[in-house]
Amino acid sequence: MKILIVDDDPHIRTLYKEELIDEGYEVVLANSGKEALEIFEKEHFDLVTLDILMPGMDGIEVLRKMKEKNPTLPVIMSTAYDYRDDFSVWASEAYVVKSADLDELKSTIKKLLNK
Amino acid sequence: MAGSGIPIVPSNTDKLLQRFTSIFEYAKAVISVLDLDELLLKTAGVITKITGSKGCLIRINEDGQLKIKYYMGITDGFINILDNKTGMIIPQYVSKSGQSLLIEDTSKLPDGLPVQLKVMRLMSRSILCVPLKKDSVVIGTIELFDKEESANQSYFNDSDILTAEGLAALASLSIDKTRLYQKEKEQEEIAKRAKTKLEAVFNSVTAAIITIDKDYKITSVNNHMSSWTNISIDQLLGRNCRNVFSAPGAISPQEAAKLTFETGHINTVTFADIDRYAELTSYPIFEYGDIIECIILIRDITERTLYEKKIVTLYNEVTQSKERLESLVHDSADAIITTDRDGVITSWNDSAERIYGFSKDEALGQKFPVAPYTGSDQDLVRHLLDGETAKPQIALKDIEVISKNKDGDIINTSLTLSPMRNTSRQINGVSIIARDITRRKKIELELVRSNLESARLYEQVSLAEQELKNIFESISDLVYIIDCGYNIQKVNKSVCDLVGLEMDEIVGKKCYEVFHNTDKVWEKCLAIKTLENKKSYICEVDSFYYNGNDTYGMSNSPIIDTDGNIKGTVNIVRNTTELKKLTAQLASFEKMAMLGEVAAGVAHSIRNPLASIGGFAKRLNQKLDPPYSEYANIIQKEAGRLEELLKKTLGFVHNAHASMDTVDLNTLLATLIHLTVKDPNIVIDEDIPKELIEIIGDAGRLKDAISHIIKNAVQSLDILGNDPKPCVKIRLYKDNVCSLSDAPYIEYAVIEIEDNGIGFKKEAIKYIYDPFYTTKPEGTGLGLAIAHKIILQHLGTIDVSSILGKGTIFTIKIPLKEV
Repeated sequence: MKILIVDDDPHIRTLYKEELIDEGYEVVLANSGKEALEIFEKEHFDLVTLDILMPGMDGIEVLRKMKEKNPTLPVIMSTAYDYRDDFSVWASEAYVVKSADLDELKSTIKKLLNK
Repeated sequence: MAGSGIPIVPSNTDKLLQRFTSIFEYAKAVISVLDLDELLLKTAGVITKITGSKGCLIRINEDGQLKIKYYMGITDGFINILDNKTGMIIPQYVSKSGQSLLIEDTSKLPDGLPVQLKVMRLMSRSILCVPLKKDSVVIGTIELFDKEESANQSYFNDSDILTAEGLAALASLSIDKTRLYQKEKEQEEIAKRAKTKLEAVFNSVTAAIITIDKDYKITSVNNHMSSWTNISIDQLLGRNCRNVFSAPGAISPQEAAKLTFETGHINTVTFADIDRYAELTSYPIFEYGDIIECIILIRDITERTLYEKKIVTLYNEVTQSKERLESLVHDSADAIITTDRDGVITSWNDSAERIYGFSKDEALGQKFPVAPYTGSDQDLVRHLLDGETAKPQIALKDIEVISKNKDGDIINTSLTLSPMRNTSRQINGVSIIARDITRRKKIELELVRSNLESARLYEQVSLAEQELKNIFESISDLVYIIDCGYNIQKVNKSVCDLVGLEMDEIVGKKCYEVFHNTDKVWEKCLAIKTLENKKSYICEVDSFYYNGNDTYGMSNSPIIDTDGNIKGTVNIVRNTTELKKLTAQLASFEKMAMLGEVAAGVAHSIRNPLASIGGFAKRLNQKLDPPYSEYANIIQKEAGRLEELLKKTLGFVHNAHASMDTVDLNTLLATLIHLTVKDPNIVIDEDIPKELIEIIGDAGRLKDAISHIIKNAVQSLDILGNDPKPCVKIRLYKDNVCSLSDAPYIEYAVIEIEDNGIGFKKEAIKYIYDPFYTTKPEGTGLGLAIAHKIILQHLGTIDVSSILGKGTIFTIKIPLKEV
């Protein structure tokens, strides 16, 4: 299973990568929305975690473009903002608040990929 | 033809005796017979028998005409001839001459006789006609036709003449006697009828009739007398009239009769009964030249008299009216002029002379108008009479014309023209009433001018009044006016709606009874202070109206009369429950929004590192051995605690409530400025009064807010500048003006923070309270935003005025704590 992690914070990227490799996933990293879309063009992914607040193109726009290309692709929004209610209507499959405890993120990924 | 009266001795004695017998019998008969027809029958019978005639005809003279009264033995055809002119020739001759006429043989009539007589020849062979005479006056004729044919005589002869004449003489006597008798009989009939008629008249005349004789004895009365006396009619007869009609004021027939008896003339007297009038007319009854009785007619003339009196009154009135009219015409201030149908003046009163200047002599005979008027129909008289055919009896009323008098001065007159009619309703002229309105016109113009002015003013005033009333009525706030005794003087509709009573039910009651349902003055009532201090107050109260838990804003202003005495208060009360809720919601929403943004920014900045720290610590914990793994565990747990704290803090911000308390601004500002401005190059200019200025608020938050503004001021200063020296000025004072509120007279604490720094660009001022807006490279853009929100939470306002390069003044206003 191949997961794309998009986040402008390098430490978050590293943490997510380490944890998800431990879980047995193949992980690709992108540091901005622009880079994420470029990689997304070339490779196939089974799931994407997407930060919202990023310099340049924000996560919401990236989400929209990815969904235009592959509507069935599971995307997890991952952000420091607690906008759970506001973004529930968006096209993403799940929403996870960034935390040191990654159990919620891992269980959400597992659930989406096992479908 | 023969006519001598010599008797002829009959040749035959038997015949003669028979004749005499007949005559005797006839004579006997005619004496007893009174009926003419019977007499004529017998006469004709005897005379034909004795003379042996075949036919006999008797005529009687009536009114100069010989009329056939009886005939026998004559055919109808012959009678027709005898009854016309031809047949009349012979009897007329006999009647005129008084002599008998014998035509012995009609066939031997000479030709010289009237032609008509020849007809007689066809009818009769021999004719004898004798007159009937009474005292030598011919009263009729007897004609005999055709003698019975006997041996010796077939024509009438002289002997027949004698016989006929003798019998005629006898018949004449009898006829005359019969006629007299019949005349008497007829007259008796007439008299009888007349009497009956008279009696009917006597009783049917509507007037009462009474007859009295010379001794005043009542001889007859008719039915109508019953209305003039109580005595019954039967009992009146024979009584003395003087005794019957003796009551004073009653009618008196004897008085009416008295003069008639004395003079023989008809006499009329009138009596006034109690309630009616009577007219008594007395007529004399003569017998052989002497007056034997008087007939007195008594008529009820009450109606007539009353009518006459009315007529007299009317006449008097008419006379008076006429006199009045004449004097009116003469003395009238208006000119009264009459003209004939052609407009030629026929009368001209004194006022006409005064108004027009023309004397009566000059005006009479002239055509109206004497001097022409301008611009109008010149011949109004013609106009009126011509128009009359289309619209009869129309008068031309109040026609205002401008004309000139004799001297050429302009006069305004109002003319009224009416047709005049004679008794048969035909128009025979025109009456003109002319009123001099020259003066009135001038006054009218003045009046119109001043009235227009007044009307305009009145309209303005009433419009203003109406407008005020409408405003008063339509204010949705409760508005009421009380006097010094808390008695309600006036309320608007909103008050009526609130308390559910009619306006006149509320007026006059105590305000605390109506609004607070108490029997004494409500302790929180602002009017207490207003009446005491003659000042306006405003406050917010929890329970203005006893029914319900709504909150109200109350404003109270004194009513001061021109002498400076307080008369009462005007109270405006607004239900602020909804407003408060909304304000609270709005404030909370704004606050949340702002702090939410802050939190979002902070969270973004903190969450990422926290997640990294915690995440890696966890990984270290798994890889390291004790005691290092325990250190990593501590890092991981502490990071988790910080995350929790972050969540809680955000939650705290969402539900934050300020702790409101009395804040002493004097102390707060004095300490704050020295804590905030630490640079010795900056001049601090304090203007804080000794008078304590207190507000209700959160001291900590206010400090935050004001320190943000002071910091902003300090940051704008050119610290190294000398001209001018960098300076922060802070002022504190009380004011009662608030630019944000409709309610005047609210007392505010005012804080001014002024610097002489770089100032704001004009376009920047719009955004200075927006979160994250900053003009400084190291600024967060949150300081002024937070300050603004906090001041608003204290129901205050914050204003900024700035000149680029010169400096900035922030003005904060917060309501004073209620004393």
